[in-house]
Amino acid sequence: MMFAKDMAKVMIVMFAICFFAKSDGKPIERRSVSEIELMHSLAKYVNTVERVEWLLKKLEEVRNFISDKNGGSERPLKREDNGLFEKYQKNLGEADKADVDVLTKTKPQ
Amino acid sequence: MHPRLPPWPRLLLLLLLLLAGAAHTTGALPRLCDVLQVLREEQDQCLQELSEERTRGLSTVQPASGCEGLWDNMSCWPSAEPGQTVEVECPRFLWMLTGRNGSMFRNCTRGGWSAVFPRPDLACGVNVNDSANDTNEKRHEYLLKLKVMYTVGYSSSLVMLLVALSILCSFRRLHCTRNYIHMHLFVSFILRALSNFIKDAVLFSDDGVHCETHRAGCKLVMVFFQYCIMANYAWLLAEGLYLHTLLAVSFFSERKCLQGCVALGWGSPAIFVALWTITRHFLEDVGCWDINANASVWWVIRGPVILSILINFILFINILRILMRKLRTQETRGNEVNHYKRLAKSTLLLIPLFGAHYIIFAFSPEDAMEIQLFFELALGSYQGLVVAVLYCFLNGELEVQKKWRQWHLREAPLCPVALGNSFSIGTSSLTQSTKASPSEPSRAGAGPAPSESVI
Repeated sequence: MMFAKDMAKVMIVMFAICFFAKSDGKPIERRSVSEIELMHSLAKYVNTVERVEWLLKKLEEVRNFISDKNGGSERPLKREDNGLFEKYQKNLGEADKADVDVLTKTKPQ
Repeated sequence: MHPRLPPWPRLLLLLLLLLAGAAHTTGALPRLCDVLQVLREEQDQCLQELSEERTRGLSTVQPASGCEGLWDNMSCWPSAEPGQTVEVECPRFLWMLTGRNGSMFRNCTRGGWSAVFPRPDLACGVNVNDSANDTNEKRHEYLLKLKVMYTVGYSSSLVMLLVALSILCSFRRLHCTRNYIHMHLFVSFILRALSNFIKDAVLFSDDGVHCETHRAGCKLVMVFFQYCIMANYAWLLAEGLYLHTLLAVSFFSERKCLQGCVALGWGSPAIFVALWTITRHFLEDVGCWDINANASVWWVIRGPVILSILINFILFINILRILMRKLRTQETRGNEVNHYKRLAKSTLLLIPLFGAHYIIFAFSPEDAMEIQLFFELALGSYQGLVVAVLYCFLNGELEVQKKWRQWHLREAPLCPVALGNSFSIGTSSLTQSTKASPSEPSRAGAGPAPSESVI
């Protein structure tokens, strides 16, 4: 009984430490279990890199979208790379494809 | 007994308070899969609108030189007359990534749409440079090195543990409560190592975006991984509780103790992991459940783990205290240096069995994370190996075994000691002292046979 009481005291103190250590405004980032912390960090990093790469590609794609149509010569992205563009064309019917082609051939001014 | 309530309800209340206090989410960026899905939805919606517009347009007059509605892989531009400037909001997927809103414009000229202005990344506050900086890259490399190190550690542990487990299983003489608990601990170590390999294979092997393909399987692996890790902590606690019970409690049933240990070791992790699975499913169903960004959900796993580490550490200290007391009574006869040697030896022996080293970083600040990861992964992955060696292979250490034979030939041993006298090496003196000093009737000595079979 005495031991249980002692243990409870120690535990309360420890939890109090945890509680107050946490509440200084910083969010808890620690996972306590090392394997999970490592998995978390790695997955987060991979996600970030994946996302940034994708975003850069995406922005490039959007930037090229108009120049792709306007001037056929300066196309950093090949048509095959542009999966979404192809899908877009596929989604439209044959009649719409003609419209897109018209748009593509239109020259500025 | 005093009439006051035991401290447990209060403790429970405190735990609940703690959980409530921890209920805040650290903002996590969405996975690429989710972003792509939003983008796809937007695209479908846009294309549908455009085709509807077009079919309507076909029946009426076609605008001669206007700009047709356009999906530019990012935003949906409605059709416009020449000279018009069209404004659209930043696409939802960019908003997901940046959390900032903005607008983009295109002019409709006679020659068609102009380029977007301002540039989409500037307009929507996309900053791609800050997230992929050098420190992150270095950290990533460090983590990958750690992954190699713990893979080596876990595989060597796995081999040793399998051998140790088969030895303990195959010799009938070694079957006793203490060794049953050791066997369960070994199995939990094996599972922990295996689940690490499986997790790594599922998470990090395949490149590319795996969105819907094996999400359920991936989550299942993650649940299994969490369960194995928790089970390992639970069995370390069971070892601690068992040894402490042997030393500190006079009368107890071995069979019931083993049943309790099994319930604690395999049952309690199942409860917590099930709870985690449910909360995760409803509160943070993101990706493959490999990123734990929501602190309150993570406390379901983290809380019990920290609690088990803490309780085990307290048990560890208490056992050492009991051991020291017993050894001190022997001091008059024995050599003092010898006495401290024995104490140190038994301490070192008990650390891997109890997982007492986990306490070092249990409450460490976040800055020490890299040291903690090295200590607990690169070195900690050998814990299974050390436990297997100490509590199976080295158990029959010659000198101790001789002593053991001397002691146990006189009494009928519960669990003969060919290989299985786990706590014998350093702590055998404890039994000796309990036996040799009738002047101090200790509680451990007052117990039935187990006290000498354990120590």
